[in-house]
Amino acid sequence: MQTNDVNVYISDLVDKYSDMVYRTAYHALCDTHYAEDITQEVFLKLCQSIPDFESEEHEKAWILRVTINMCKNYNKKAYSHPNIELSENIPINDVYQSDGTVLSAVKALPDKYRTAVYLYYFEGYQIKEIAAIMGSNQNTVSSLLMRARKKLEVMLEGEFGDELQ
Amino acid sequence: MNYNKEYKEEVGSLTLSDEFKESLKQKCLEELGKKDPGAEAAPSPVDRSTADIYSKIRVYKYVSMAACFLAVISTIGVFSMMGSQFKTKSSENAADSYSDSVDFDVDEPIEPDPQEPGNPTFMQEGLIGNNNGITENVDSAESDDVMVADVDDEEIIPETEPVDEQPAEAAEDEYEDDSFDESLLAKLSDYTGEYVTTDYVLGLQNSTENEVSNIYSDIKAMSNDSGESEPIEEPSYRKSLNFYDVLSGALGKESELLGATLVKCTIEGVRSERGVYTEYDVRINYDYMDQTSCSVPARIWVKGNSEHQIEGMPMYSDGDVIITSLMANPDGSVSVVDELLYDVYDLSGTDIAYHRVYSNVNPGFTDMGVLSTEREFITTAANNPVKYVHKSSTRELTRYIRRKIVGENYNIADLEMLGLISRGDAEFEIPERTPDEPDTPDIPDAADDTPDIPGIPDNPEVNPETPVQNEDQPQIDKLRVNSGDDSLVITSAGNVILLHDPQTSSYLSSKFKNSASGTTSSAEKSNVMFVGGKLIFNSSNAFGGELIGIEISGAGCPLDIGFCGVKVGDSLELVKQTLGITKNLAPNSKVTYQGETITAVLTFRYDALSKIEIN
Repeated sequence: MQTNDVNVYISDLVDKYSDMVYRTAYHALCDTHYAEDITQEVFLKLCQSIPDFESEEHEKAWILRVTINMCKNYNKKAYSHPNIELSENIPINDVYQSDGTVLSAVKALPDKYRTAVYLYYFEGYQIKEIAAIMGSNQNTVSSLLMRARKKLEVMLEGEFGDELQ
Repeated sequence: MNYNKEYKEEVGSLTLSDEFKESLKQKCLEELGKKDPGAEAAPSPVDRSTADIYSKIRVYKYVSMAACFLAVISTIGVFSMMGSQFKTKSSENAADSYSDSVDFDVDEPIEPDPQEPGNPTFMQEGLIGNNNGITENVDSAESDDVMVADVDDEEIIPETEPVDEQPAEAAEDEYEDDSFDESLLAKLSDYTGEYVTTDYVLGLQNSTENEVSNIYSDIKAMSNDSGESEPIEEPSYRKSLNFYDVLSGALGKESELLGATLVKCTIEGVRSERGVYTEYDVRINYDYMDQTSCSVPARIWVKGNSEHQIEGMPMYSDGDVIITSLMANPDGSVSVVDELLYDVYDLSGTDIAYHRVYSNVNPGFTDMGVLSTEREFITTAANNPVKYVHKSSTRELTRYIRRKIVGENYNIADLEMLGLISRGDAEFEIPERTPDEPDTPDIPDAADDTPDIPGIPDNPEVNPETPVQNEDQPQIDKLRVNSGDDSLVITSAGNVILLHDPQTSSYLSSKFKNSASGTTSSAEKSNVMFVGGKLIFNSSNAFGGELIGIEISGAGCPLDIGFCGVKVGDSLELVKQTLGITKNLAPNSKVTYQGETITAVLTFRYDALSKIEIN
């Protein structure tokens, strides 16, 4: 692959995955500006390493994993520097206040729940794949999803998604 | 109704703008250009395979790793040489000592071996561009640590101490002033030259043997020779002090008088000596409480004079910079709070504060970020060497103390008024202390400071199996106290909280949610982590369910949990007084309160309450 090919390759990746990265980061951090920062960092990291992906799925999973890890790092940074608002596992609101969107209910969930919900219900990953991406085990992911679904149904006063497969 | 479809639509609408994507692409291309700058200028005509590119990248990686490895080896060498061999000599003339210490003489028959290649270079590199003799041997790795922390602060915490913390030009001049070039040690009147400095990493190199072998202290010999200078013995009660005693004691007392202060001063000269004190002319350059520069002339009293000095606390010289808290005394004089007396040095553009050894202040209970790399920095000199027990960037230190002062709602002093009073230009009605009040100790009175919480046992029911002991009897390291649940009062920020109580859970949630740093959950319980502590709930949801356990291991924990009026960080004596324990507890000991459903374990380390576990 020549240099120009690499440039094209990276541009294609940005077109293909930047929205996904942004959404993932937004689910983790609930802030559009931080999500944009994370998106940029993920692709710069990609440019720095240019991993040898085995497949497109591998490529996508790698990018998601990096995104999630960067969001975790952000929260760690917030731990060291208390004036950065924490988002990890802390419900955004004490009491869910609907703004008329389902996303506001999802944002009221703890961080891990939100990421799992996004990967499962939007990206369509299986529990096993989510566990691999999140660096967790399948039972934990199942548990997260079940509880998230239950919470969302209470908040939304309606059904959310289907039974876990 | 199933909201899954709506969710997908809403998330699908979360997209980046085209401008952002284009900008991102551009940045990526720039990043690629940085990575392989020659590639764009002269692309290879050969169509190399992807594997070739990756193998090349890997080669670069290996080369980088090898370089890093060599750098690490070099750094280890630097540490070991500095820790054991670095020695400088200065002249008898105080004014020459700085230049002597900087211009180390490789011909001197001292370690390190001058024949050893690279040593001079290393030593020069090790010298930091500071202006005093003490900090020259601070290794670069250490200062790097501090710098990193500060850079982070600057990037992320703009609210902390402003960068321009002194009047711009004045501050610059101050640090470039020759007067500051001369070290504290060099300016000792009886300083005879040779000194050795060593930087210990606590827990790695520090030991009693090391300390004894490396500190050369001839103050007692000097005392015997001259028959005039006598070191002042460190009062035994100060052994139990820690940062929190100081903050709640000395600063609290200040608050009741003129108000609490936290300032940076520059020594401008010695005015007089009285008793064992020296009166210095100083200029207060910065008010950390107001976070503003200032220029207030004042006179302050510091323990130790030319005849009598505290061991490890030599006199100050003109140009020395200190951070301290100033306390107005009943006679109108203003003295420093010895336990908050830091010397400030400029290390590569970063102000670093070193705590003087006067009392065994144990800053290990603080939550200052820099303590993760806590170091003990001991400097020795021929006569009464200055000795430091804690270092921190001034930014971290002052932010920490300021938070405590603000958190306690202490009154803040007017520095202008303080300066006037110290110079005798103004009078201030300061309440006289009662005659039976101890002269100097700032240990908070347990009876006064203990909140009036109903149910605190006046005399805990001590397990009758354990014989009662008095102070003369051997110290015990375990004590069990049987009590009713009603007597085991847990407070959080002054409010009584109960285990297995939904209201408590709700209160903690509303109060401390934003202070939490993360959670770990299982099917049975959820741990909500804080700096220096955690709350345990019987549910997997953060702050959900009922509170079933508490663990506090750091005095800076924002939960502000107290058990029967005591908190982590309190001294052993204070805890004993507060809880009515008459037994002779060892400095490292454990007290278990066994209630009907509650068990509380208080763990003491080094004469201070270091952990409270309640479940």
